[in-house]
Amino acid sequence: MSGRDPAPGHSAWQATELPREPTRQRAISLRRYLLTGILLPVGLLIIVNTASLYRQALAAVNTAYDRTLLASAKSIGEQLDVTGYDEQSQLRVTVPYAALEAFEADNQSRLFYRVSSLKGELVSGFEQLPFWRGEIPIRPPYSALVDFYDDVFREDPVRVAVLLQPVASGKGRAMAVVQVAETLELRKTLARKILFDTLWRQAVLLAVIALVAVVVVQRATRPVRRLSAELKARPEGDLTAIAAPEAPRELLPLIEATNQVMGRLQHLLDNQKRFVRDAAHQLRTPLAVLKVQVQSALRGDMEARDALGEINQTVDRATVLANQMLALAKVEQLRQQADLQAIDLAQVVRSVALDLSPLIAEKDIDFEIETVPAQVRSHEWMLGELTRNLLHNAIKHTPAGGPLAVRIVRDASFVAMTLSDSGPGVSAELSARLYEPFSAGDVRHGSGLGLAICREIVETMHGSISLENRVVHGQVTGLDAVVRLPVA
Amino acid sequence: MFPGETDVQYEAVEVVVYRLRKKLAHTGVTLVTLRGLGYLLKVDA
Repeated sequence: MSGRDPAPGHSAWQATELPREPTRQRAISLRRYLLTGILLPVGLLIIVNTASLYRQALAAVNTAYDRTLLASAKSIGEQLDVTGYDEQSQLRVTVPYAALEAFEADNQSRLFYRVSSLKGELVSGFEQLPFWRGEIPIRPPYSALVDFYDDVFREDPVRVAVLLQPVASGKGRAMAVVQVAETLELRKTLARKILFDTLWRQAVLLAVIALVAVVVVQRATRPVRRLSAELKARPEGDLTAIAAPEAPRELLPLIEATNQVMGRLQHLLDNQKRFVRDAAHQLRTPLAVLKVQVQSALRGDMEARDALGEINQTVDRATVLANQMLALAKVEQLRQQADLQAIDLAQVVRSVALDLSPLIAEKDIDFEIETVPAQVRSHEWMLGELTRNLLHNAIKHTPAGGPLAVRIVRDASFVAMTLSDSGPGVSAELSARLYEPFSAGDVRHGSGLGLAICREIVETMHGSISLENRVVHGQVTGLDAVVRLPVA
Repeated sequence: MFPGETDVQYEAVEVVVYRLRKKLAHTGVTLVTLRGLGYLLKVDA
């Protein structure tokens, strides 16, 4: 029959439409997170590092220049002459200005000197250069007669080296104070050069680190982007597992979880498709039977009255099937609403039994019902539908005059309803597919949806259902349908 | 028989049913017992 597969794709899709994606919170960008996480601390470290490097270099430069300054002071000190002793001494010096030129490293900074007695009387040099007043600090690298300090000369800041030079000659002995001052241009230029060099080098370093970080992060997140693109490019309805052999190990749990979800969706989708196909098939059967019945009546093979009777039965069967399909859809709908209330199962069962009592009496069934009040959380219609289906099945399978018992027992947390019929039970091969739609053994007697509806309802109520053969001395004496539901 | 009463004497019911069954004999109507539920009048086919 080619008509068995009426391309059910679209309606099935609508039935399983996924819930809308929740509005996304401000998603953190993994890439930005990684970049700031790497670059920010590295950048801060480099700034601190630059500052300390600059200070160190500056200190080294100052020390070196101070030594040249001291050397020039010493060369002046060596050209001193003295007459007289101590208090009465007369210092003399002839320092050609050219002598200092040797120490001027370039023409940017200028050197000035001043030679004075200990009391500050000018012997030679620039009088405007303020006389040194202070004490010689004890500084290990230099002799005890040397000091350096900053001063101002002719409104220019200067660095001054001071040397206490003992002078002795055949005619006298005295202490001379030799000061040499140097303007700061050269030092400043050099400091600036060092600063720029340091900054430049650190900037290159930072750029290299940034480049490496960007490239690495880009490469690391590439599998994620590739996977997203792959998933986006999928045709509608493609739920096959994601194959990403090149994905990094960190992504595997996500891929695995996604594949599991896809598997479940595929299963659901398959069930829906099968249901639609089976339902269509089930609806065709009574229509085909009707057609045959009508035709034989038209041909006169059959009395019109008999034909109408048979047609009536066929229509009844089709109506049952349609109603059951609607019931299944309604369970699904109620499951989503889920406004359950506490209902006494015993009352529902008794009322259903009363409804079906004509059927029981018709088969002269030895019926018995025994209940205790049992509140369960449910929807009244669902509970009625569940009980009706189970009791209907039990009556159907109980032979005429056979026993049929309905019992409700309960403990603190569960209610158990047992329907024991005296029918043939279920075969092992059937019991596996019992709850699948249209799988029931004898389709002529039922819609094949009853147990599927029962299971849906029981699952909605977080209970369980089981159908087991009752075996006495190796003989099946009937079927026990047991529904266990949590107490409300 | 015992409207609104909790102290129901089932034996009394059974006596009534027994008498009723006797009277219904050969009328084409039988009284079917549904234990735990009640009784049902059934017209024989």
